[in-house]
Amino acid sequence: MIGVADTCFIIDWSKYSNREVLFKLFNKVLILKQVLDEVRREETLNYIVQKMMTEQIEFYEPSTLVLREADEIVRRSISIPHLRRVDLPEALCIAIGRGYGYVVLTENLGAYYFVKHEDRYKHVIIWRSIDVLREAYLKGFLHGDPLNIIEEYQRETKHVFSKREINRFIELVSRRKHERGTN
Amino acid sequence: MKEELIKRMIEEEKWARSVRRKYANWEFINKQPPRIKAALIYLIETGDFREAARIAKMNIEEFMYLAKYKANIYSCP
Repeated sequence: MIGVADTCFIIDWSKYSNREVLFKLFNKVLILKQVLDEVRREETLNYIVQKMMTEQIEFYEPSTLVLREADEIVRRSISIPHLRRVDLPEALCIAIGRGYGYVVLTENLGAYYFVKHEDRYKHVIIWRSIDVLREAYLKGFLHGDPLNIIEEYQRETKHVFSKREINRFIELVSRRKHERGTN
Repeated sequence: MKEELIKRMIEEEKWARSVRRKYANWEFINKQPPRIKAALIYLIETGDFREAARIAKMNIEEFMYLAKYKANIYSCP
């Protein structure tokens, strides 16, 4: 599985102590030129560069066609009333996600709702960090109390999930655990 | 269906705003120079890190660090 990450996602993820699980789920994570340009802090750069050396993170420069599509996504997102604008780095991730079927890794609310809103992009898969944590837990890469996993991620990255998201996470992992137990 | 989606997003934004307002370190925010303070307040109200960083005239990652780890403004969905 290949993912394409936006700036805030990769910055948050670089601060998480269990960040290795990302690369147990994904063979490769693409980092776009426009995303790498936004990263400045030494620890984040070191993390990205180290992962580039092991070919788990791949630097990717979008083509003119992708750039054009991303620009169209930005303009379209601005025209939808009440939708939070999608910025160019997230728009590029969405365009790549549509074109190549890669999973878009973002926390951006605008991007998350844009793909649900637009028929052309409805097949694009967007994972927020809670989706990555859920999949990692279900595949056995994360262990222990699911609530502790969520709390640890929130504490270390200063990213908060809503009660609804947390409940859905707990419900899903409990159901799967139960199904496994009864099979 | 689409109206429902937008409604859900607005609700999510409303909740996220309340979290940012509640946990923000207002003492730190109020001591900042006008441009940084305005950017932090913009972030609390909108959750838009990139635009807030533009207001602060800072790189987004540097601004994220300041907002999250100094001003205690959580990122929420």
